[in-house]
Amino acid sequence: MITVVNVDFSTVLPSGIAAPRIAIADIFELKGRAGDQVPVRQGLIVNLRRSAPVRVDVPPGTYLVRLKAPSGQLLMQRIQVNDDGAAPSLELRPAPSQHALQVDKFGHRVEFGARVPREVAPLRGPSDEPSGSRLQWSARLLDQTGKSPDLTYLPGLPVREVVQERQDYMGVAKLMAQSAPDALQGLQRRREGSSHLVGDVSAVQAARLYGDGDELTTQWKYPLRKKAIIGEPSTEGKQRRFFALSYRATDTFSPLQVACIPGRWVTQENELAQVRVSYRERTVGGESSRAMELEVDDPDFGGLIEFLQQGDLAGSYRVVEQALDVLYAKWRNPYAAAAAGYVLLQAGLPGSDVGRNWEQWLLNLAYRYKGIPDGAILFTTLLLQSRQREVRTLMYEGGAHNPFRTPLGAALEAVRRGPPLFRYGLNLMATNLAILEAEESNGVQAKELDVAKRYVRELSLRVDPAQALSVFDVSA
Amino acid sequence: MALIIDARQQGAPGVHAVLIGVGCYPHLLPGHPLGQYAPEAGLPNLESPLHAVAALAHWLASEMTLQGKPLRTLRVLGSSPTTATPWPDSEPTFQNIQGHVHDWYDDVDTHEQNLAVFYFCGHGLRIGAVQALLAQDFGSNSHLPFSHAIEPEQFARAMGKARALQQVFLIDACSTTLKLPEDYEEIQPSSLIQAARNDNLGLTRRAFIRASEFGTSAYGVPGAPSVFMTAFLTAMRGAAAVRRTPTEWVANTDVLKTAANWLIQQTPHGVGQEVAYGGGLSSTVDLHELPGVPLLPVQVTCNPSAFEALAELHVDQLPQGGQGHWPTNVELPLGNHDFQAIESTSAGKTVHGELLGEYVFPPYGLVSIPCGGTP
Repeated sequence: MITVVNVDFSTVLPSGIAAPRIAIADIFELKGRAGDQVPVRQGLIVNLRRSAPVRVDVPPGTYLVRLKAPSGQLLMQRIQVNDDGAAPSLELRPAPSQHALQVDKFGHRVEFGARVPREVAPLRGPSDEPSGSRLQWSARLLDQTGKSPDLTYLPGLPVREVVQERQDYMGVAKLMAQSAPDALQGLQRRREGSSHLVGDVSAVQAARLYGDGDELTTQWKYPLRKKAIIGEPSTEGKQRRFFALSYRATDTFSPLQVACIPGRWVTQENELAQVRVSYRERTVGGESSRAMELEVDDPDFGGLIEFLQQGDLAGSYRVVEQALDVLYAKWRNPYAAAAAGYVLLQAGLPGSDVGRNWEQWLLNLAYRYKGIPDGAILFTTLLLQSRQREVRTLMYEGGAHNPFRTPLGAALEAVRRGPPLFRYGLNLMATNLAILEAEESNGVQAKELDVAKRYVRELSLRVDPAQALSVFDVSA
Repeated sequence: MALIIDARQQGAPGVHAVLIGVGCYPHLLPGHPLGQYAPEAGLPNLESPLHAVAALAHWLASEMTLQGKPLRTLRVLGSSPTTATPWPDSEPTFQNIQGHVHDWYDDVDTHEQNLAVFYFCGHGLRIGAVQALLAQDFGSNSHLPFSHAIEPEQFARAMGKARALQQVFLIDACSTTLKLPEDYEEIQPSSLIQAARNDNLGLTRRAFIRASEFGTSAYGVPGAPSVFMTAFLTAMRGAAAVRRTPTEWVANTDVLKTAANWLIQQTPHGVGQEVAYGGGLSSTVDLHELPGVPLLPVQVTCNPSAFEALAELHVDQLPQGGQGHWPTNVELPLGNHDFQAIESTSAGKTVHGELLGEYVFPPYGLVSIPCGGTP
C-alpha cells in the first residue's frame, strides 16, 4: 500500500513568491511513547518542477516527513503507514498546484516560473503584440568602424520602436560582448560610466517583452537568434556567456541593469532550456524597486541555482552529488558544471572518479571555455585556496602560452574575461586577488593586479545580491 | 580588558569567541561625512548591541557545551548610549576591534579542532553585494568617510587561512542600502585579516549567518538584546537541534537558521526580518550539545480562532496563560503532548476542543486545536 504525502509549499510560502523547483526531504520513524526520531532516509531530492513522486519503502509505523525548500521554508507532516498485508511505502508527491504547466486567463500555457498564488502574467495576449516590423527583432552585428558600441550606445538597436508606452518604455536587449586581449589595460584607460563592465559589444538583439503593469517578461533559448552570429545549434565546446540589458527608452536611452546569461543551456534530455527574464517590482526591507530577475528552466539543475543563491551548501551538494557523472562525463552543459564546481570546491571533492580527475577537469573548463569566466575563477581558487593533489601532473593545453600555469596568470586571465556568470565567482575572485596583491605588492604585475582588484570591487558594488546569476546596476 | 575569559592550554582545542556590540556612534551627527549618500533614516545610537553581546557572552560562558571543546577565550567589546559597559578597555572603536580580532585570530590559528565564533551587532550599510559593518568611530574621518568599517564577507573568507576548521560568523546588523557613490573607489571597508594562500577550502566548515537578509533591517529592542540574539538563545534550548545519537541532541547552524527565522517572525518587533546565509555557501557547524531533550517553541491556535478569546490553553492538563490570555507560543520538550482549549464558567468547565498525543519536534511546532460549536 502506498501512503501519499502531498508536497505543497503554497501553504507556507508568502504571497507572490515562486514555488521552489526542488525540496530536500528527511524521513524519520517515530518510535516509542516519547516518539524517538530514528532516521530512515535523509537528503532525498524531491523534484517539484518535474512533479516526480519519490517513493520510499518503509515498514508499517509512524513517520515524520520534513521537507525543506532552498529558501528555508519547511513542510512537516506526521504520517501513519498502516499494515494492510501489501508491501508498504511512502510516496512524496508534489501537489498539482505546483506544476509548472499552468493556464493563464488568456488560455495560454505558461511554461514555468509560476508565482504563488498571484495570477501568472500571460506570455502573449491579444493586445500584446509588440509594434514594429519583424526585422526590428532580429539579431544584428554592430558596426565597429565608428564610435565603439557600449551599453549606452547600441547603433542599429531600434530602442524606441520596440518599446511601448503601456510598458513604461521598458526594453530588454540581448548582447554579445567579449573582453579584448588587452582588457586589463583597457580597464585602466576607460572609466566612463559602466560600459567597461562587459567588454566590447559586437552584436545585439531586442527581446519581445510581454505583460504590462506589474510584471514584464521575456524568454528565449538562444541568446541571439541568428546562425550567422552564434553558429549552429549543435556546436559544443564553444559555449560562452552573453548579456541581457534592461533599459528605458523615452527621449533618451537609459540602460538600467545588465545580466550575465548563459549561451545554450542544454538539459539532461539534450534540449535547450529557456532562459526567462522578468522585470518586476521587488520589495526588500520595506523599500520597493523594479529589478530584473533571471531564471533558467532546467528541471534538474534549476534547483541547484536556487540553493546556490540561498547559500545552502548542504542542499546544493545533495543536488550535485546525484548528478556528478552527468555533469562531468560530458561537455554538454558547462554552465551547470561551473555551478557545481562552486559547490564542490567548498564542500570538498567526492571520493569517486570525478574526484580523481577534478583538477584536470577544472583546468580544461578554464582553458577551453574562454567565454565562461567561472571556469578560470574556479581554477584560480583551486590553486590559491584549496588542496591540490595532481596539479604538477596536469596537461596544460597550449603549452607555455596557457595562462593557468601560475595562480597570478590564472587570476589575471579570469578578470580579463569579464564578469562571471554566477555571482559567487565575484566572492572567490575578490579573495584570490587579495591573496595575490599581498604577494605581489612590489612585483612586476602589481599594477595589473591593482586594476583587476578595482574592477572586481566595482562589480561587487554593482551586483544584485538577491540573484545567483550576476546582474549589475548600470544606471549610474 | 576585553579578554574576559582566558582558559588557553597549549595544544588543546577549544572555542574562541569575539563578540562586538556597537551601540554608540558619536560621529554620525547631522552633516555626516557620507553627505548625500547617508541613509534617509539616519544612523542613531542603539541600545540592543551591548545587551546582545552580554547575553551571548553569558551563554557561551555558562551554557554552551561541546565535547572536547571547552570555551578557551572570550573577548567582548561593547558600547551603549544608556548603559555603562561592564568590561574595561572594550570600546568597539575600529582600532580596538582590529587589535582584538588579531589576538583572536592568533588563538583560532592554534589548532584544527578549534571552533571560531565571531559576532557583530550594530549598524551596517550595503552597496551592491558589499556590506560595511560600522565601528564606533565610523564617520570620524571626513576625508575617508567609509573608513572605520568592516567588510564581513571578505573577513570571513580571509579567515579561511586559519587552522581552525570550524568557523561561525553571526552578523546581527542592518544592511541599509546606499546608492553607488561617484567616488565608489574609496569604499574600502577593512577585511581585518589579510588573506593568504591556504589549502583549506573544502576542509573548513564555515557558517555565515545574517540576522537579516541583505538590504533589510535587523531589529533591536530598547533595553534588551536584539531580536536575533533572543531567537538565537531560544533556539539553543532546542529549536536548532538535530539528533546525533538516540540520546544526544546537538544544535547546529543549519537548523538554527530555520529556527531563528521562524522565532523572529513570531515577535512583533521582528516581522519582516529574515535570517539568511551570506558569504557564499555556508556549511553546517555544530554549536552546542544539549543537556537533555530539546525544548521547542510551539505555536498553538484554535480553529476557529475566536475560541482563543474565551478559553484557556491546557497542555498536558496544565493551564497556560489564563482564560482569555491565549499565549502566542509555549515551550515544550520534544515528544507527545495533549492540547486542550477549556473554558471555565460558573456552570463548570467546557472543553471546546482538544488535540491529544500531538508530537512536537524541531525546529518548532504548529498545533491547531479543532474547536466545535459557536463561541
